[in-house]
Amino acid sequence: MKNIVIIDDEVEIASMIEKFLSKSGNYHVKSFHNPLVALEHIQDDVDVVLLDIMMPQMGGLEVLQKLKQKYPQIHIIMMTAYSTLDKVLDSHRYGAVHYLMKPFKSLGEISAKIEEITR
Amino acid sequence: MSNYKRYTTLGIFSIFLFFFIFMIQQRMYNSNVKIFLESEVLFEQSIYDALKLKHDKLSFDLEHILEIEHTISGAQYFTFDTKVQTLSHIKELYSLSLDDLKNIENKIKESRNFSYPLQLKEGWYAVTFIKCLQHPDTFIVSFRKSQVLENIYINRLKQLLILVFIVIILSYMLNLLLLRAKKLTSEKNKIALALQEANLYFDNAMIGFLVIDKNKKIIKANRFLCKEFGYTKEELIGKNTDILHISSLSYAKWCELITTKLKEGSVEHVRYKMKRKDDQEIYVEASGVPFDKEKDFLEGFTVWTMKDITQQVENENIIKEQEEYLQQRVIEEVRKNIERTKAYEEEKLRDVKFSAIGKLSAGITHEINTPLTYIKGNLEMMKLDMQDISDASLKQELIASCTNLQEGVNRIATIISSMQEMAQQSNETKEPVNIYDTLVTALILAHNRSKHICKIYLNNKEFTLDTSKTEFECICTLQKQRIEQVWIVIINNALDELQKKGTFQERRLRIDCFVDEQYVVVKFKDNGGGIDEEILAQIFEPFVSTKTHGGMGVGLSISKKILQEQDGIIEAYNEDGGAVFEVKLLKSAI
Repeated sequence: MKNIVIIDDEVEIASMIEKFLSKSGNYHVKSFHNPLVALEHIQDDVDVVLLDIMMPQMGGLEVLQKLKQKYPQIHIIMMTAYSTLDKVLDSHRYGAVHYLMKPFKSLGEISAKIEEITR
Repeated sequence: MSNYKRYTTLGIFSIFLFFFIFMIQQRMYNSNVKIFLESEVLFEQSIYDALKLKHDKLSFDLEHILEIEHTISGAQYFTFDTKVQTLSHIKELYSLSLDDLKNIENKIKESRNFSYPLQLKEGWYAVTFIKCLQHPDTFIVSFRKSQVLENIYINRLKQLLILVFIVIILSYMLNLLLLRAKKLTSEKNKIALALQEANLYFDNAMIGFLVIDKNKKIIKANRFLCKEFGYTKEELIGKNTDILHISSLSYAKWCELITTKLKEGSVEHVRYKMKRKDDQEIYVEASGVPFDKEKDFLEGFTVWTMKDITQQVENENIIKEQEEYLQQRVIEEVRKNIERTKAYEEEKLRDVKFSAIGKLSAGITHEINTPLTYIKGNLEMMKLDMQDISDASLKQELIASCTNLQEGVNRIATIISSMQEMAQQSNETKEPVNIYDTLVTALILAHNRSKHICKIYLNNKEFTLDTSKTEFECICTLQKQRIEQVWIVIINNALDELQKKGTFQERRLRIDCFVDEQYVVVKFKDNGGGIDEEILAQIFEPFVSTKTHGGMGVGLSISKKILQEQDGIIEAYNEDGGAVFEVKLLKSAI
């Protein structure tokens, strides 16, 4: 079982991804709607973090930096509903392994990516 | 004549005048003697009267005489007998001059009684000779010291001195007059010379001169003026100035104009159209002043200068026309410029609008994408769940509806994606950039990933985080951040491909940056097996990807678009069992 954490202020999206991933039975999924709370609870046993970029409490890029600083081994996949190339590059620079655009092409895209990077 | 000669002449003249006056004085003296004699007659009468008082007869002897001597105060009387007392004796006694003696002898012979003025040692005496009636040969001689005589002589002397003084004054005045006359003559000559000179200047001046009288008749005209108007002097002098004007109306206007100006003092540089003898119209610049400023100009002469400025006026007209043309052009250009500026402003406004729409679309896309994400996701999950429905027809119907819903949602997602692209238009400005520097930056960004995949060689040197950014200089003018994005995309693509094959030791990525005649060339060459020929032709098309998972397939298409904006070219080909991406950027002119 892989430990997956979802950080997204949009409750519906976080719940949906959580539901989808949990359903497969391969993942242990936990979702946070507030990145500050998430930073407190995340442990080093987490394999992949699905991180939204635009959140009111703290920007996804900042959360990315903090997480990478604390747990460099965690694979982080960025998610955003609105992206620019700059943000993509920045995410890459700060250590994100992938970048998913919302709306997702399919939910299967998420699980495929998780599998690819945790292989 | 020199002053010396003049004064000598004057001296001689004065002497002559003095002599002449002396002669006149002599005549005056003689006449005075006569007057003197008359008075002596009276005196004689008084002597007779005195004698009669004492004697009945006018016969007296020496004793009587002596007696009389005492009766008449202030005078000495002597009686002498020519036999006893001779004139010679008197001469000796009174030291008479020979001339005097002769004169007295003559007088004695001629007349009975007489007086004679004598200058003796003691002074002037009136000597009176009275012939005794009883003794014809005897004379009573009285010597009377005469103040009058002295005064007369002093007066004569004074008169003489005054005359001399007057003569000197007169001669001085005469001299002055002569000098004045000479000066006047000299000045007259000078004036004549100056006049001659002035006439010479007047006639030879390189500007037309004209003198006219109060009736506007031409009194004088110089050669230049005659030449300008095509007349001879004889044809102009005495004529009315209307001869120079194109019409009587024009002449009347001219008269009115100059009368107004002359009333103010002078006419200065007035331009007027006049006429030559051959009827050719010319532009003249005229200036005029009254000859005598004290006099009313209408009563006296006026002096005019006139210059033919036809050529100048024509030139000015040409210049004026050109100026007008230029002004027109300037106005036109300004108008065009205003229009251009207006258009530019409008464009700018449109840009602002687009920018606003862009910014707005950023928010809109985010806001719409969020619900779209969970609608789409949930639809996907619903569709999966529907597979478990046992009723086949219901299942098919629900899946069909779900598919329709998904299609609709996908259409919305496509529209939102387009809006997002529009919102991503860059506002960066182009600047001279060292391409080598941007490559190092991109490699530093990719290092986190590349360090696990392969070694990268930049211009034949292995890239490390310590690689200098300034070792090579390949300058292009472009948007720095955009070009860095292109390098990231290409490097990441290469890393993705390399990751699929071989080991860390086997994998290679070579990047070469160099300058040719026209371009800065950047060549990315990997040994990842190359690109499938099928894909190669459309590799820069959007949504084309060699990646099995995750890649959006837009990286290279966006890169191509960016490069086109930076006047760059990108090519992809296979070489030596690997893929090559060659980018050419227009190098900056030095």
